[in-house]
Amino acid sequence: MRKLFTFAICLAALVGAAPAGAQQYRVIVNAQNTTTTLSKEDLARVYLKKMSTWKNGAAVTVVDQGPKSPVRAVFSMAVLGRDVPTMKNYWQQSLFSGRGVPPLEQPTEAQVVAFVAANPGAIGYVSGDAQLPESVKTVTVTQ
Amino acid sequence: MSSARQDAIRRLGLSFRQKILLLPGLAAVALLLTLILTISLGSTNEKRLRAIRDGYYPSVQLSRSLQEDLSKLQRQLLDAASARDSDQLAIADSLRQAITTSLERAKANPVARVTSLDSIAKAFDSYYILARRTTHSMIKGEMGEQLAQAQGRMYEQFTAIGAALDAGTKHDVAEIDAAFAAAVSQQKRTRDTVMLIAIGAILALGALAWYAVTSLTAPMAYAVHVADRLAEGDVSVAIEARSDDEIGRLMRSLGRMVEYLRAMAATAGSISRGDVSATVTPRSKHDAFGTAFADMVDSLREMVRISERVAQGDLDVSVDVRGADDAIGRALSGMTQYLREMAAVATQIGEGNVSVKVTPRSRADAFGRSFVAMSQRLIEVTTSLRASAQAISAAASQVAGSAQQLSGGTRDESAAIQTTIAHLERVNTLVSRNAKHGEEMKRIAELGSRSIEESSGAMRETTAMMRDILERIAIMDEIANETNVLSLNALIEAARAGDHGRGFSVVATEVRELAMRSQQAAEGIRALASKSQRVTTKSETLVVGLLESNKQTTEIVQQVSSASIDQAEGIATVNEAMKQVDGVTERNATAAEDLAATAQEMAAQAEALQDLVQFFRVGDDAAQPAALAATGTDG
Repeated sequence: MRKLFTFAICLAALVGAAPAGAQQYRVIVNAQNTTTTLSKEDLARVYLKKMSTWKNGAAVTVVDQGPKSPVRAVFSMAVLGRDVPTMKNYWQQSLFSGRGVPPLEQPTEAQVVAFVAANPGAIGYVSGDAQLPESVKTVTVTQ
Repeated sequence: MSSARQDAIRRLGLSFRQKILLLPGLAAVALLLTLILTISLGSTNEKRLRAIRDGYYPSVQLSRSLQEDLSKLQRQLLDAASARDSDQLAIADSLRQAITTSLERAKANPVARVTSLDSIAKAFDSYYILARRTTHSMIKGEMGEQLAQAQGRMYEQFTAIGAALDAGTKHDVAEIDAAFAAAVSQQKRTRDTVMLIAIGAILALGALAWYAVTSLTAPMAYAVHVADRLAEGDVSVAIEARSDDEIGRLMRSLGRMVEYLRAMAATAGSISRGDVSATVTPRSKHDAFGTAFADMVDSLREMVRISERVAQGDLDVSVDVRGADDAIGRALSGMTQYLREMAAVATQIGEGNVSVKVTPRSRADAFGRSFVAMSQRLIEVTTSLRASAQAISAAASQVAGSAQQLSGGTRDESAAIQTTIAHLERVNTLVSRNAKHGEEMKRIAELGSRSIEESSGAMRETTAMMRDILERIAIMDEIANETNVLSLNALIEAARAGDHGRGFSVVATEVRELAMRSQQAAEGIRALASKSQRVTTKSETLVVGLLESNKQTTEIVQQVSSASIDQAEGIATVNEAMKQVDGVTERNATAAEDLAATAQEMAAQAEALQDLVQFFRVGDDAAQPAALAATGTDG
């Protein structure tokens, strides 16, 4: 059952990542999270810290990949529509002008997965081929 | 003004000086009050405005500049992070220093809330240290949860600082607004209060001025009215002090003056009524009126004392004439002088000098004229007195002679009367006997009556005889009556003219004649009676049945008898009268003797009178004193 489920996920990931080549991404949440799908727009709002709670009211903790990560560049362009330096600039201005705090950055993909697995309200993204434990689950990003 | 208010004002007891001083005093108080109010409220407002200028406004300014500096600092940190140039952090450090200095300087602000500033400074320090470290981490490319947490704290602290600065600014602005509003309202309040004080002061000053004027004019008018009455001499005017101020004191002084005048008027009134017992005590050494009054009363008392002594006859009083103007003194002096002269005149007259010379001082000098008249009259009287005395002396001698003669005559008269009396006594004895005979006859008649019973013829004769007897008896009755009348006349004559003794002898003669006629009649009756007795005796045997006639005879006899008794009584009365005449005559004789003695005495007295009258000198026989003649020509 689990093998079948894993397979299905891999298939789905393959299908999703196929147009962008090898550098695909997958959005992950804690396994306890009941959310299964998320529109790209909502995802962008979560990552710009304009939406800070889940539908059940729990706080959202956003986790970013490191600035040099290729998955981040793909994710930034695909979800936020801006490249990483622009986003970095955006968050620095926000931070120093007191408008907002930038998302947490984890240097490695393993650390991202580990954080999401450890925090029930966390959301992160990983590359398409990354190995995922059972404590996290992927969320389908709809257009 | 109402009387109640006037009473209230009177009770205040304000003097005019106080009332008039009250006006500027009240104005000054109002001005001072306004000044103090304006200054105090102005200074409060000034303090508020100064607080705005020196405190709240710089505080707001500081808040703005701090926010700007903070922005600059953030920009610098952002620049440093963006450029990944840690050198730029030094610039941020200098900015931080500037902010710290500004905050430190802000504490000097008078309205600064130091604790708030301190907490801001502390928060800023903490924030800067955090921000700098975080920036540095970002420059170094660090990431992870720690950085994210630091960034979160940095965000929170910055927001807190901004909120604190905003709150400070808001507070300052609110303070500025409040201070402005307070200043404006205070300004308004000041204006209103000053206006109120001004209006109040104006009203109070007006009322006070009105009160001062009325309270001055009304009592003044009253004082003028009282003074007018006084000027007209009306001291009965009642003066009441209606207030305790100067007018009140004036009225009290006027009242004392009126009282003084009234006392003086009363004293003058009692003096005018002649009462000089009033004592006048001058009220002070300046009391000219009182002193003059006292002197006048003393002077009058002295005059009264002199007058009283003069009235008691003491003419030795000395009157001091005080000067040419002392009319009373001169009058008194003249009076006493005059009285002394009159006394001297009276003394002269007393000494017998009735021809003393007195010249009346004026037509009105009743005393002097009376003295002159008295003197003249005394001269006349003395002259005629002398003549009279001589005449009296002569007359007295004549009277003495006459009296002696009278005495002798009266004695003769007395002897004649006594003779008459002796005769009368004899008549009386006869009449008495007659009466006894009547009784006898009656008895005989009774005997006859028994004879009448025997003889009626003899009775008729007896009756005729009895008629004769009746006629005789009638004559006797007549005689007796006349004797009575004459004796009465003799009595009256004796009473009326004691000194005319001769009248009595005439009466006595008449009486004697009548007595003789009575005697004759009695004789006739006796003869008739004896005849009748005989006739009766003769008729005794003849007339028996003539009882009726005999009864009549008896009655007639009874009548005769009673007539005889009456006659006897009449004679006794005449006898008594003659005895009285004799007493009178004897008293006349005694009086005539006394008269003779008195006449002799009178002659002696007339001699003495002549000697006395010689005392009065009538001018021809005595010289007048020279001094009296001299004073008599005065005045």
